[in-house]
Amino acid sequence: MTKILVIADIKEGVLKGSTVELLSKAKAIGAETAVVAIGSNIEPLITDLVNAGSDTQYVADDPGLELFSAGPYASCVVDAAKQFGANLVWFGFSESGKAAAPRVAAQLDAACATEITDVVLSGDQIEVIRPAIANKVMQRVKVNTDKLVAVVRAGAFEATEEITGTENVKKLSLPEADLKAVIKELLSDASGEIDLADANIVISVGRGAKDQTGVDLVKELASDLKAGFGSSRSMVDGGFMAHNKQVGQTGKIVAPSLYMAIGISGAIQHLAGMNGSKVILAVNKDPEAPIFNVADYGIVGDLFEVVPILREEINKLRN
Amino acid sequence: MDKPIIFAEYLGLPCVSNVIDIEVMDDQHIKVSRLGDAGTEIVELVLPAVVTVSDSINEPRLTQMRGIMMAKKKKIDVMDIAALGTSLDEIGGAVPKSEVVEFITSKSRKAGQKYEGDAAEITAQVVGLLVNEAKVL
Repeated sequence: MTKILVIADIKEGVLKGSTVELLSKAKAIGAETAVVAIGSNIEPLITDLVNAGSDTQYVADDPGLELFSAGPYASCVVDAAKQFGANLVWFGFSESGKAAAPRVAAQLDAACATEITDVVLSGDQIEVIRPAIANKVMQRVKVNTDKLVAVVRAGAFEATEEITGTENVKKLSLPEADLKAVIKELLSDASGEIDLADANIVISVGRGAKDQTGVDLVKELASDLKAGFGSSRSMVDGGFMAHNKQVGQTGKIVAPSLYMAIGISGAIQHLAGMNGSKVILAVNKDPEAPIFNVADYGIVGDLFEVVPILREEINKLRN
Repeated sequence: MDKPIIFAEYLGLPCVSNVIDIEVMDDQHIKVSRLGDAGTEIVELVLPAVVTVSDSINEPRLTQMRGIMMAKKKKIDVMDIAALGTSLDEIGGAVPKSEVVEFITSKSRKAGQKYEGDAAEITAQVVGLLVNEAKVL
């Protein structure tokens, strides 16, 4: 029987939706599932981990593990994968996942695949589907070993409602600290904000906003809708938005129910980060902007005129 | 960007990925800023180390014509695996852990409806469609 180990994605003491999505897919395949949770003060999350659909919970719980450090984190995953006898090790799509997965693969002598969107098992043969060349094509990749470590693309798998697990907690021994790469400080710039990766609605602002006044205008729309607030690369380079707000091939990859591209022309690198969204609305004053080729709904107009009307119309609905 | 990290792991070197700033501390140490999930992580690394950078690391300067012309004249040494003193078997290239067997065209999105005209009118219309047709608001 296939054994799938999912790495729990925990942020600010909360188990993220991606963990449930990955475990749902693992159960749908008919695999035996386990989860590994690494961090500080994990105890209160055990019930959530079980309800997410895991049959075994490997836990590394220590104040020293509060800040992410790829080395110790990977050691915990390798330990859990060996104890469990995992064939597949799945990370959700996150910066920590992308940093830890290749280390785990190297240590387990397993194949490594990033950004997978699907997995096909036939007997012992593992195959995965992943995008390449800024999403222009998909690759079918054959795995020639019996073990695969993968990072799953955001929104690739869907959570199922009726999923159950069993409580079977196993404590992992604590990893050694990485003395050659020491994390000194965490400059938090996102606390209290809505996480782009998790948001149901994401609104991104582009060059059309011109400056801070334009950015603030679009930000108000985002706060009205309790939406994640992202950006195209030009506004990050211009210093109007933080690096971690960049949506695109080299930034965050999002797949919300509704994505609003405001004043974004739609460079291919940006599209690669959002064209998995369910519904796309674009606002741009250039009717020929490439964003309209992927948008379900397009408003041709100046965002300085359109955004206040959007807010007004949406607030009318809310009341 | 999994290869550089696997490479560092094989060499037993410390590694930080997704770096947006590098500062040299002394001959043996560098300090890097990394974009992590919870914010910017400041990490001190002991050299030698492997660092992978994000595209936020800098704005590359434009190459000058003189540089382009000079580059054309540079000799490029092409070495095969034997010249490097190893073999495909030794580096795992004979039986790779995974291989691409097919390229499939991505399902491309179709352009939807584009609305032009009076801003107030078309915006109200589109909000109506987001609510009633797409059911996402």
